[in-house]
Amino acid sequence: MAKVLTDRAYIEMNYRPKAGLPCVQDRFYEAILKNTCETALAASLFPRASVVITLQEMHDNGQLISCAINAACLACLDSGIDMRFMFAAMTCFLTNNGDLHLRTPEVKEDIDAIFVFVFDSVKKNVIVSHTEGTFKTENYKLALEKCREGSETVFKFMRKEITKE
Amino acid sequence: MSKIREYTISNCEKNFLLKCLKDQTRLDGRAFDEFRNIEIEFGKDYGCCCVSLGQTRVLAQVTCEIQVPKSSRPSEGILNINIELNPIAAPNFEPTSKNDLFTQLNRTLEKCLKDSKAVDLESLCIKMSEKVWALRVDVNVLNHEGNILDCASIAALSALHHFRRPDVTCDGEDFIIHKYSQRDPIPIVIHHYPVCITYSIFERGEFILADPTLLEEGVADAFLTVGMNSYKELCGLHLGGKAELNPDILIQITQKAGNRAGIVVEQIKKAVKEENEKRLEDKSIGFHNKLCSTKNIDFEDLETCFDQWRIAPKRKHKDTEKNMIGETVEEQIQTENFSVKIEKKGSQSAVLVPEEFEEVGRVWGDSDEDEDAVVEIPKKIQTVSLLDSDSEEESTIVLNANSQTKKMEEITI
Repeated sequence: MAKVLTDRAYIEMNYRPKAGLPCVQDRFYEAILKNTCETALAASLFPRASVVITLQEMHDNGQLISCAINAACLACLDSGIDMRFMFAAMTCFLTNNGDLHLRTPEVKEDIDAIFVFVFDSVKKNVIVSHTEGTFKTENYKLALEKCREGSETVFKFMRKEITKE
Repeated sequence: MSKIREYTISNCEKNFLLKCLKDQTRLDGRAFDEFRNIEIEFGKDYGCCCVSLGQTRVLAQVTCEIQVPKSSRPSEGILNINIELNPIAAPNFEPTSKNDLFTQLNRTLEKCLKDSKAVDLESLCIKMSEKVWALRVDVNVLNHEGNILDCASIAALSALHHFRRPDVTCDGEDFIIHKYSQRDPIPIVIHHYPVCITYSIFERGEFILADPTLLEEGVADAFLTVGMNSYKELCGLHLGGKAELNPDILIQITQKAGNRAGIVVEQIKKAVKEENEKRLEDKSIGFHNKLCSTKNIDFEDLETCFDQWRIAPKRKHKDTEKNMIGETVEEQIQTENFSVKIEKKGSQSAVLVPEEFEEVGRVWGDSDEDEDAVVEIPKKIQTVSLLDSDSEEESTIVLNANSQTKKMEEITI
């Protein structure tokens, strides 16, 4: 009750790890997810309401945060809540030989930096940018473009899945 | 807050359920001592499994770490069991606060698995009073459709049975934990396999239902949880609620539970064995196999589903103009044929299932003497009825269909 907002809906985000209690990393994921959903959902249409989104990790095979964001988007679409736009997350890996990969490299030690971008479906603008590790500015720009291209397939997949059933 | 979100059972539902019980029927058509289907899937990690009991779904994961043992038991490992009730299962579950249900579930599961000494804790000891393995079983409830405890106990036991801990060797002073790739991991030693089996008690023990659903749980006077292993040994007993029970009934229930426990444990063992064989043969393992596998739906049925999507919005659009013009008969038949049925899969989730044409035919066939032309007859009669009805009624049907399809959700997460 204390969380009621008079001008828009309160968005409550719960991210649950598969095992153990939520730690700092999970809280951080939760914050990213909450920010993303706050921008994407048309919360001002529902003042004094609350939207609860719960995400449960089932298996981590790399790119967990991207997967969680995409799952949140599909869940919002499925719930029928008004949204400003769809959003899709992409992860890009910079390996130590200078290559950019969209697939998770097999060996963790090869990774120099990780870029996570979230794009909106209307103008393909960046909503979230999250990086880990060290990299050059060119690499960041290249990764951004690569992810922007990649996000197209994610949006295509989402549209296909949501109209399928 | 949680009180607001809680699902309350209306008197109508309650009375109807009790009335049905008097006619010896349950709402989902099961017999009184019949259980829902158990499905056990395993994840890619060791000790990760997802169990569904009907529409109740639970995800369990076992993890291990090295800890200092309790001073009272220096040569025994530690086993912790933790149930998580998330809003993903039911809207009234709060992620942070531990409510009564949580305490009751956790304690009963602990009694069943931990206090019955099912897991051999002494084999988890690495060095007396210094280093032991601490196992932690996390049970996440994914969907609450009644009887969480049975589902959780099956999940916890399957996860423990499936789990393998890394091997540890000692060279004088140092302990080395070997990676899975270096040495084969070691399974946990389980002495016996206890599972919880829940019964709901109605009308002072007059009706006893096995494996209650959410609605049945809400209406019942009391519930009885029996912890039982495959040797029909009692590992825990919990009676909740208020009911006057005859001691004979209690013994009767425990005997029934014993038979059931044997079946469940057999299924768990079989599932783990199959999974281990799959691992040995390097077959694809993990949840994605189940999630991505397409259900067997006939193409014709699929078409009707798709057509429903395509036609419904279009017709809704045209409603305003067509009110004036009036529709042709052919179009009306077309939409009438694409009847779909929404099947409820737990609260707030449903599946769209195309309705059988035969069913329509059978209903009409009964009233009509002509049996050969059953398929044609409904069409004719429907067209007549539609012609009689005004266009307003027709538009409401389509609008309903549209809103129903919107509600549809996926159960798999």
